[in-house]
Amino acid sequence: MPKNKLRKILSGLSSAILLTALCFGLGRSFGGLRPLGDLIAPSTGIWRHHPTDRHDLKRRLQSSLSEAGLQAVEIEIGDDEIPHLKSESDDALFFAQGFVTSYYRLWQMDFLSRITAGQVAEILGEKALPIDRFFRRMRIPAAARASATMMVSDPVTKGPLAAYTRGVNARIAQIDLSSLPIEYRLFGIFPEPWSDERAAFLLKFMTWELTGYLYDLKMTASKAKLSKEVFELLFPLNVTMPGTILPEMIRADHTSDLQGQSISSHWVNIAKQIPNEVLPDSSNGSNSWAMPARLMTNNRALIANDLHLSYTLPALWFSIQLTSPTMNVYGASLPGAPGVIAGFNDSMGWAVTNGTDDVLDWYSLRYRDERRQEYLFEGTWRPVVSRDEILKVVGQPDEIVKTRETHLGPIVFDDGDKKGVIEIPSGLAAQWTGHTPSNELRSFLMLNRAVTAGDCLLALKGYIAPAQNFVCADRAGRIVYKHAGSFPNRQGRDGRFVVEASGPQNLWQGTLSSEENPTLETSSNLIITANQAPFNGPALSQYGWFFAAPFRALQIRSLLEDKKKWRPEQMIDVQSDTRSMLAKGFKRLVLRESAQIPLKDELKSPACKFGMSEPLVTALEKWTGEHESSSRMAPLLENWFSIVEDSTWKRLIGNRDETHWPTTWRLLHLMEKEPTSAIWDDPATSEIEVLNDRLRESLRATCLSLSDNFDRSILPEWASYQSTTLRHSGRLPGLGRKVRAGGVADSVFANKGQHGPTWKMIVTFEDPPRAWAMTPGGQSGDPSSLNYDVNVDDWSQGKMQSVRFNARKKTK
Amino acid sequence: MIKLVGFVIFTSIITICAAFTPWWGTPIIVAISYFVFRLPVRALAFATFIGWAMAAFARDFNAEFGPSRVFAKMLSLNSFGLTLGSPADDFVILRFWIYFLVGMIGFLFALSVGSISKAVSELWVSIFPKTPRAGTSAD
Repeated sequence: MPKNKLRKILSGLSSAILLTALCFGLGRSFGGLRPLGDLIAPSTGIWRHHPTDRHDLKRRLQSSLSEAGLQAVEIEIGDDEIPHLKSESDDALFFAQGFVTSYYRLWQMDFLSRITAGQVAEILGEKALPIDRFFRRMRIPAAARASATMMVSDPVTKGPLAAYTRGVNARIAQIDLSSLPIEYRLFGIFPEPWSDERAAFLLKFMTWELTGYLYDLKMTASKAKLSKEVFELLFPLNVTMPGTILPEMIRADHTSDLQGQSISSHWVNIAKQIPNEVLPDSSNGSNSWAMPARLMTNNRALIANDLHLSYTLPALWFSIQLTSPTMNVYGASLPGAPGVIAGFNDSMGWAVTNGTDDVLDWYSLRYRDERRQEYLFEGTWRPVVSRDEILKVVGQPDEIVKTRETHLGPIVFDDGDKKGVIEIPSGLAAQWTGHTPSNELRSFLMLNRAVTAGDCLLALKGYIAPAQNFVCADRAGRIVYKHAGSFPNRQGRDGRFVVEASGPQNLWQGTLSSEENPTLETSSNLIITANQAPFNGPALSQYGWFFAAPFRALQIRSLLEDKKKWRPEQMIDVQSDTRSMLAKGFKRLVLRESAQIPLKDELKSPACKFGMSEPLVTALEKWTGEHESSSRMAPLLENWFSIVEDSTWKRLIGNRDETHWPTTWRLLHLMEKEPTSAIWDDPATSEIEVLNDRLRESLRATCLSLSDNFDRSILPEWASYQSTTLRHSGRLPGLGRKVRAGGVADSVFANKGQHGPTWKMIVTFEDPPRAWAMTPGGQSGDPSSLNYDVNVDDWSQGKMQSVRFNARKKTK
Repeated sequence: MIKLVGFVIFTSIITICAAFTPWWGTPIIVAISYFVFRLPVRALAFATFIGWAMAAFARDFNAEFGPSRVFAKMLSLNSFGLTLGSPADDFVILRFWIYFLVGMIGFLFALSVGSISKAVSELWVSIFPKTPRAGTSAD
């Protein structure tokens, strides 16, 4: 063959290969997304997308309102895209709220509602199946539907919910290729019509997120591993805790003979198979405080609130003002649900923090045989009610998931194929207050319309889940605290363990009377809630046993008691405080122990020098416990404490993902009070070790770890040690954001890297009220908008924005 | 001069094609341009590069630069050190990189389709060489 011809053939072939590779690469789907070629092509892809725009929104809203035959809604919306909606009709107002929220956040509300509906695999495909299976087996969609039925039959919620749904659907009807939210375009899908049920799914998502802890399974495993004495030393009930919300409280229906029985510690290993995504973050919580007028320079009460949840972009909350003849409220709304969840109006405001109560119990059932169709209860075999549910999976055939229910609740786990380990086939059923049909939306809409702090108690009547601390304050200076929710009456049984459901003795006997739940009405007391125990006393264990360690509450109190009078603006600094009482306590203890060998020697080790000109002990003494982004002592102390914690509990109890560990408060307490206890001794060594040995060993490990992972010549900055990331709500890579931020789990600014303050608000009840707020993100859920993540940097620096609140009228 | 005018005309056609037809529309136009108008492959490739980048810019401009903001996020170009300091400055630089990348995809398309067209055409000619028709001899 002539050389020239061969060259032409080779050139043609190589070009053909290049073209094939291009077509293959651009025509192929990656990670469930549409083909890259479709996305990047200027004619069809993301280039066709038009960002959300307030002028466009106004135009579209007005045309939708007139098409729906509704009254006019005035909309004021500035550069920050926070809508201020005003109408003479509640119907038009909630229609507009639904329309505006979905204009900015349709993808987010759709996706979040799909989680508890068990419909994520319809978008994300096979990888989301374990999440959908879990929520279906947990019967959360059924519980949400039952709640939706209540909502649509309650006169308080029926109208707002229907109008909101119509508003969302009016927006969906307008969507074309240029206005389709980016995420739908990426996944190659189109939004389905919205329904009232979706709001119930979203509210149930919050309920699960704040109460769906599987700690009982882990605690049962911990108990099985420890002797009675050690267990009681590590997990004492009824110890007096500092910094509780209220002082000691006695309940009339309390019985103190806690039984503490437990069985079947193997369940934790079966539960380990469920995906981490469905488990609520152990740090979910919040801060709130109410300042009485006497402590304020303006002689007006004030409330401050910051809601700690997982960070997402778009931001979890949507700021909005709603004005009609029945309400004039501003605050954080949950995209997908009408009204405001945390906020204020002309005359009062309310703040919310997680109650952190134990409202989910697990019962071990004994099946009759391998078919698992009957379970033993009170000596008789009762039928398991099974249902087949269809799980839709994008790009695959549907899957059938079998849900099974007992009179106690749904069976979520089975002992599976562990034949030979478990002799009798058994299952684990859940009893959860979230399964109770409830209408929390009613409480929130009533709070939106409340006039005085006292109205809070009326609004919270009948409130079931998630159990929350509500703090309300009003223009007259009244402050009300309520630990609201439905709490199981366990008849004195200890709620920490998996129990056998062989008869009624272990089951819930209704709920505690809500009138006797912790409540305080005051005009002079400072109220601080930070997920800590609500009160001290033997009745506390009826509510829960995994309340947050009181470090945040104590730090807030110490800051607020530092001044006699406060200007409202100064609360911004309190909310952004990064000092940790846990770190300070650990530092105090380390300094105490540093006088003794072997820790004394280890502190002088060259491995722990990190280029410091002064001895490590001196640097420690100077450190104030702050966790600013540039702090270099914080990584050392935090790493050191976590190694002490890990090594102590792993050796004594077991791995963290299989067992429940004592709180950091308990660990610090044991370090302070029991430095020679046997818990510090490693039986594998011939010597008897005490706390000082553990501190030396863990300091050595800390210095090695920091040198290996960062720089040997200088300690890392806190922001490098704990990186802060705001992930996209659908976990799409690239649509999240990294940011440099300070704060730690136990500081007031409780940033934990991927979790922390998602809504910050300060309100002082002047006339009209003045407020400041901040969310980590912006108003728009559209990644192509400047308002998608506009506030992230300000948020990370603890800044807040003055709220523009349109007061209804001057009132006396 | 004629070549320049031709290049500008072809670039405009490709820009319109990229902006209004699916991504596989460009290779078809390129192939037609080669076979029908015998345009040089390199000129086709370069014109397509400019055409795709311009189409992306036009769409982006029309959408207030929102789409390039999404690509900048999704491609995480700032992780490759393509930054200037403030987020706004970063964004200007990143945006041009994105147009460049889009243009490069067009360029590769045109280059490969053009090269294949050229090779096929030349092979065709070498296998079936043109013979003078009967009665049209030069002499």
